[in-house]
Amino acid sequence: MIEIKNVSKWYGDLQALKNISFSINENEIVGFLGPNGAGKTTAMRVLTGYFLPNTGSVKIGDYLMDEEPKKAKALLGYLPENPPLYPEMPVNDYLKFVAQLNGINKKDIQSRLDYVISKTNLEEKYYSKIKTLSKGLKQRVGIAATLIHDPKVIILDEPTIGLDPIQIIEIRNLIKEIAKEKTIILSSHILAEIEEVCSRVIIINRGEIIAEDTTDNLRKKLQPDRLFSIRISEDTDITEFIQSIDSVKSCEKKDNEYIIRTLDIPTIQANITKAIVEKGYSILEVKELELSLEEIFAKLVKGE
Amino acid sequence: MKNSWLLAKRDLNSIFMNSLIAPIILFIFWELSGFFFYIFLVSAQIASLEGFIPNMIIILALSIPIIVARAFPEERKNNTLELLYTSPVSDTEIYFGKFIAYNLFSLIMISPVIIYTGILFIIGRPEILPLLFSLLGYLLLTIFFTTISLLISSISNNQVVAAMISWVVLLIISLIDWLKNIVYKPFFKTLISNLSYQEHLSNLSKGFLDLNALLYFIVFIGVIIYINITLIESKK
Repeated sequence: MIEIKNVSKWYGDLQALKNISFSINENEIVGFLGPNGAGKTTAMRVLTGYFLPNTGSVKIGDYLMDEEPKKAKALLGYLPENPPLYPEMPVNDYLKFVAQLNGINKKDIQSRLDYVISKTNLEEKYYSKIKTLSKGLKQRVGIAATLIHDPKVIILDEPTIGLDPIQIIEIRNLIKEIAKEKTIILSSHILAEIEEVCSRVIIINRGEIIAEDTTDNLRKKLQPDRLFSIRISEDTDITEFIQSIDSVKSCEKKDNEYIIRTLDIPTIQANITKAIVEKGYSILEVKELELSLEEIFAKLVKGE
Repeated sequence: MKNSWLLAKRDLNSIFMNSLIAPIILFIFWELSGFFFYIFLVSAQIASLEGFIPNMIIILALSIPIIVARAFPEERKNNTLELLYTSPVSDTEIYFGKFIAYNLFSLIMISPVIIYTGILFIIGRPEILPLLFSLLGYLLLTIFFTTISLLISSISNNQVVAAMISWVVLLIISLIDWLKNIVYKPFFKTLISNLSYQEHLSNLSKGFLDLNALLYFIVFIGVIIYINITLIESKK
């Protein structure tokens, strides 16, 4: 659905994107991660046709952005970090304007408007001027505008930034709802959000793509061993016993917990717990320890 | 063009809905133009716009930038250029949306001249051709000033700065004619006459169908439009 090939973008002497390439399939939800200034927003702007790249190509569906920009853009719905809204316009007029801008037939506009208004729960604000709305409501109007022409691809740049926790949950649920039928690119600093919604992540740093995979695969690459913790009811130190179990690479006692590093074998956890129980100890808790997306992100960005 | 008209309607709506500046400017402009029309009519006792139009130049040059300066900085402030540039609309359509909206506003501003023309016919017998060419010159000058202000607005992030630069540019363009009095070489005198819009405007208001004058305005307006669209494209 989206194909970016060897794209570079310069701002004067500064190269914001260095020959990046990636592709996204139909109905895929991809997270776009990177520290501040990594080139995320530039990449999104190139992707949406706001900027033309200095080299390389952007293809949306069957259309190249530099050859058929109108057709390529018609497939996109884009919500920038600061939603582009006309403060003096009422919500319904603004959404009608965006629909017309995207070439929606006059007879279809009302039904599309009703659909996005109900999807974003903006019924009560239908006639309200945008300048009177809270930040969360403005964000919802922005999302409604990205959906109004029923685009195949939705690109959301930091959609929950600056919102309060309740608004964040609302917007996140809305994204999950949209995700059922669209190709989505989601850029966010909140990694839990990416992990919750996206099937794959692209990590960008200093204008280059440094990783592109599912979160599970990235985790496996960065943490080839399995790591889990076990808590037993007895006070006895059984570190040495655990270390003697087959396939255990190391064991460390922290407070009442044993942090066990083992080879990546599917049955390893069952084997270890069975050996401990057979030795006569009672297990209170077994916890798989995985790298969080934050840790994966930090390791990749720092080049560990 | 359908997209440009859609954008123009939104812009025109925004000019009037966003603040009281537009109605205030219209009110002041209409008051002053009525005053000047009356003064020249009474003092000259001639049914003509020949004295009226040259004296409206300074009022036009001061009023137009105040409104037009907001065209692009306002979009940047609202981040809405990002909406326009990522929608299936071309840069040329975006430019002409602004061009149509702000020129329509300027035309509304100068529209009382139609009433003044009517008054001239009621109270006297004006010469038709000079009157028509005067009106044509007034119209072209208004579009010329609006197009220049739009160009300056498109390269500025701040509407106050854009308005001030536009005033300075329109003032410099209006002062070119004065240089005629301080140069002696005939070549420079001719060059300045050709570059000065006042010379062309004055020919039109005298009733000559001065093709040079028409060409002057059409070429300059066309070149500014071309530069403006190229600038919008190059900023990407």
